Amino acid sequence: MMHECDNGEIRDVLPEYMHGRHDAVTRARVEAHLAACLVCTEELAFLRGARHAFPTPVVNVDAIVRGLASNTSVESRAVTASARPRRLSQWAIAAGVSCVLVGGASVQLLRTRPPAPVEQRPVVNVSDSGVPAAAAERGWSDLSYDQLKQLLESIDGADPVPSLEPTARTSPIIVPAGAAGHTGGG
Amino acid sequence: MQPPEGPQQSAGEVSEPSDAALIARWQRGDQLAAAALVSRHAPALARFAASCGVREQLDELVQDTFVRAFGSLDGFRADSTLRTWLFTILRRLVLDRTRVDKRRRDDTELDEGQAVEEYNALDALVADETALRVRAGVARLSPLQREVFTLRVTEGMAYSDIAQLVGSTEGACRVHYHNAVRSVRGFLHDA
Repeated sequence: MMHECDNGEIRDVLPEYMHGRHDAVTRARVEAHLAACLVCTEELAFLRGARHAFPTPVVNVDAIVRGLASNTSVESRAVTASARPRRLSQWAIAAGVSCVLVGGASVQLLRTRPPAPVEQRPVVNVSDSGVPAAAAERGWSDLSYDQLKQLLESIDGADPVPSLEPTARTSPIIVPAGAAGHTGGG
Repeated sequence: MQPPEGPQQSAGEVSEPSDAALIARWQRGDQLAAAALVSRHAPALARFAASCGVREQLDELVQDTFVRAFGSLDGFRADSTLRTWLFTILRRLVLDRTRVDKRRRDDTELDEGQAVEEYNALDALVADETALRVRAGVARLSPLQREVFTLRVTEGMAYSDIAQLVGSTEGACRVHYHNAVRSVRGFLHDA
């Protein structure tokens, strides 16, 4: 069973100690703790073992540098050093030109397009034709044979020049019998 | 103990040029500065990639990392070290490569047992038995625990840098690290 040290602060900095990242004061403090704490000494031994369990793979530094040189020219390095404003302005110019081209093409397209024909339907004054307004609103399929016949006759006799101003539809005001006098006396 | 890598220097040692100074020299066309930067950081990058499970084309991966980093130095934020930034780029490349490989295999993710078996099979020729067991123990960790553990133990990276690299918080990374240590030590103890 593993025991744990109560000094979490020291345990926390053991990796930095192992890598020699501490100043002299901190290093001395860690070493003083290690001299008295077997648990932390064992943990440090484990960390050293774990560190060496991952050997450094051999990398070809020269090849990497050559690849770096071929991928990044001196000119591009100079650009990199002060690239952000210039690159942004290039992008801005490209975006602006694109917007102008697309916008102009759209306007031109709208201008050359023929106007859509406006469908003029003859207005049939339903109330004048004698067809019940409620039936007309429900749809022609709901009309009876007599109503349809009446409607066709009214269309035949309709004015060929359509009335552009719709006639106001007025609903009759139904007053219950006997209420008129009461209302009038109101 | 391996000497610390990178620009961190103990007092009394001959100071090497900083990463920033080398970058400035490289931008003026000094090829030796690029070589110095690559020599300084490439081994750690390759080690981290290997610990993430990359077995093939390590040189290419590390080179891609440098090419991307040097090609967009204007995106490098001064609030992190160059090494942390390089690790961030490398990690992204490793994740991309892993995704592509997975898609290519048209396979489901390996479970932990399979991963450990594969790891052992690949490393069967490694002589150091203890190292093998440690690596098997690390292979059993969750991906995030493994990254935090590796960066902390093999690179000595601070929690703040690791948090930035993996996109997490310092507190979460601290918890991941200690859980990973407990897990790997427990694995070694039980093995």
